[in-house]
Amino acid sequence: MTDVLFLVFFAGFGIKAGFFPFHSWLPRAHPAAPGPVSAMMSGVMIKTGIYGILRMLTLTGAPSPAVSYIVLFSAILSCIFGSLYSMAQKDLKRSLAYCSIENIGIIGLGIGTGMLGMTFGNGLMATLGMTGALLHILNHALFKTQLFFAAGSVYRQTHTRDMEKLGGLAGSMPLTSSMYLTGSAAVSGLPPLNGFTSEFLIYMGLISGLSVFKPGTSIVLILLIAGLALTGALTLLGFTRSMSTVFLGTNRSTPPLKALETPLIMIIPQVLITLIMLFIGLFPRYAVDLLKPAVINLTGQALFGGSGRIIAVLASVSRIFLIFTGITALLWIVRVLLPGRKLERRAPSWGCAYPQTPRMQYTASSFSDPVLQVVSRAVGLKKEYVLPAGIFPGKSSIISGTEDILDRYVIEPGVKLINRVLGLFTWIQSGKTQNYLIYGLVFLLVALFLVMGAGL
Amino acid sequence: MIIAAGSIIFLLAMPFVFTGIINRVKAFWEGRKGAGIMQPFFEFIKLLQKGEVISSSSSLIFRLAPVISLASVITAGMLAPLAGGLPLVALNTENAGVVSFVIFAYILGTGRFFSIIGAMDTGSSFEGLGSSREASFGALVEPAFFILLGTLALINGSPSALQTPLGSFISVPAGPAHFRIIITVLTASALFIMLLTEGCRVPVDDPATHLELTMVHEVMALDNSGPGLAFLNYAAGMKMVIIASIIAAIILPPDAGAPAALAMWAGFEILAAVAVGTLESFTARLRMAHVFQFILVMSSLALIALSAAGVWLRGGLI
Repeated sequence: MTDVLFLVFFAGFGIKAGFFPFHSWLPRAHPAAPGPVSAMMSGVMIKTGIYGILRMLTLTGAPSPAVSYIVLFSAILSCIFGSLYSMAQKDLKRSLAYCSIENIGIIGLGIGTGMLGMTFGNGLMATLGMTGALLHILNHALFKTQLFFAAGSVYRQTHTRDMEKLGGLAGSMPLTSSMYLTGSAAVSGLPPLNGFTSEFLIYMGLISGLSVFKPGTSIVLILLIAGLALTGALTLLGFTRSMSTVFLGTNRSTPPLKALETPLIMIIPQVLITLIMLFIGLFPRYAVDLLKPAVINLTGQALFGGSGRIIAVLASVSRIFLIFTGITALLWIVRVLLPGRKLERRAPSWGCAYPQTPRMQYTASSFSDPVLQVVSRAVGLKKEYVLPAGIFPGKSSIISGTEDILDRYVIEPGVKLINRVLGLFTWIQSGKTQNYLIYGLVFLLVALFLVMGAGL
Repeated sequence: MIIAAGSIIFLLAMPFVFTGIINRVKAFWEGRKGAGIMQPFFEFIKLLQKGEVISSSSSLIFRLAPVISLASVITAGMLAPLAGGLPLVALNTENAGVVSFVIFAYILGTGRFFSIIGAMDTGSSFEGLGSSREASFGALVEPAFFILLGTLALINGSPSALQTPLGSFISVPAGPAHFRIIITVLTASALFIMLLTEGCRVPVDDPATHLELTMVHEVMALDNSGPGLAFLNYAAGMKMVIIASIIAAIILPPDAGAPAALAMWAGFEILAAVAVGTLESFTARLRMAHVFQFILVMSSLALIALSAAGVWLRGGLI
């Protein structure tokens, strides 16, 4: 019974959080708001859904394995579809909104891992999963806010969110573009930023479940690990795509959009966020300590695996990041000190001896095309060609686009059906006050008879 | 200590030898004499001394990309099982083997991220082409790699076995011979596909062609010159050496003494380089649509290995 109760609440709060297949409202709502409000919606508001799910978990206690698997399944679908749809969008903010669905999926994966650990009494797995989920809530709030702030700055300065019209903003908006770069590195889970830390904890949680259970369970866990890896790689594709089409190369509009850097007051909050992200990435122990009471609240004191072990692992991970940063710095110094430094010169990009025009650059659509081709059914990829023909070919063109298959095949027919059924009752709403007075009168009479009937 | 020193030299010097042998083997099959095996090293030194031409449409990212790319490969190399199956940096944790491979994959991901945006920074359509393919191939390789890791973690049995450091962890443990052979062959061939993909060799990519619409890595480095190009080429070679070394850790016996292990690993690297060179001489590059199928073969092999591991653990099919 508690299982059914939990699932009902999971579905309800899942709509709020944007779990697949309840996400349909999210990519419509979030891009429509101004930048800072979108940041609030993606960073904080949808997490209330996650809060609701976690609260229910504390009320119902450890659920049955089947429920954990349902949560994990829904989470991994959110991850994969979120990242696929995110890289299919041409609208910058819409792409970020789909990315929020993906990150809700990652949080869900952590929660599911924690639940599975709780069910099987595996303390380490429960602790790692829950800590990872809670930390990812914080991390997603940070980097998604950063990204929406930067996207909002771009919109404010250029008045477009269409990636195909942007490009080369790194030259005119260097601060905003470096902020977007740190945001996208964090969301792609690149070390040493914070996004990696929480994803890493979830990976560790899934791995610590291996070999402890039956082979079947282990295989499911391995497939989830592979799914999370796929999500990471797709996110990397999606954010190299948006970073490079919006900020790098040259501007794609004719005439080129003239953008100026945003006022400093819009940059300062983003710098603060960057500092916090770096801090969590390099010194994760403080964040893990902060989350300890909440994790104990979820797993229960008995199952809590102790944050000491987690912190020890994270410390050795931090050491590797320091090595990485050190090697990078060293190589950079070597590069600067090399004798050829003085011979450096600037020249246009090589274009087979032809002049390169901005229109010849790779667009956002073409960048994600190879992967979208592979999954063309799942993303509803459509292309319309007008091919050049004849001896004197006329104008040729190609229009490509994608659609959300859930919207297309479930939501839209569903809404149509509801409209049709409810349409049968439209005659009641006539718009005449006299009729409504009669309805009121009839209602009063029925109520009167009911009361009288009860009294008989 | 000998192993550690040997591993550092192995990691830093082997990329040149590896590329040199591939070129030499290709020359042999083509009936040429070919350049000396250390030629890639001389080219590296030559490129380091040259001046660089920076694309006028690029930003700082273009200069930063080769540096981060190389740094990420070196760091990842320190986490991988090198000569003797031991990594230079081991994690102090449960499940250290798999866990350090998660970091390994994500650090390589950082390098990939920057090499992609570095190439996109030039605003060249060629480099867009290469970047887009690099990112797409990465998206297909990564999940398969994690399935392989999971499989190896799974068959290495009890949680206590997982506490051993990475080196002995990645090998196929004692058990029924047919399972061992099946899993060794499957994981090794899947990783060899990964080597060809990540190292950008035939049949995925052809390092010999320039300015053809079929290229991936070569075209991403089109606007790089001087030290930047040197770094990128060095990183590509080192990636192949690292993956070949992981394959060696699966196939070779894990607990040989220091000099023997170094010799075995070096021998394996040479064999792998000969295999890549021979393959490159006798096969053509695949069409782009078929490259995806080729990489998906890696996922299939990984999934079959995973199923085999599951059957092994259950102790038979029924």
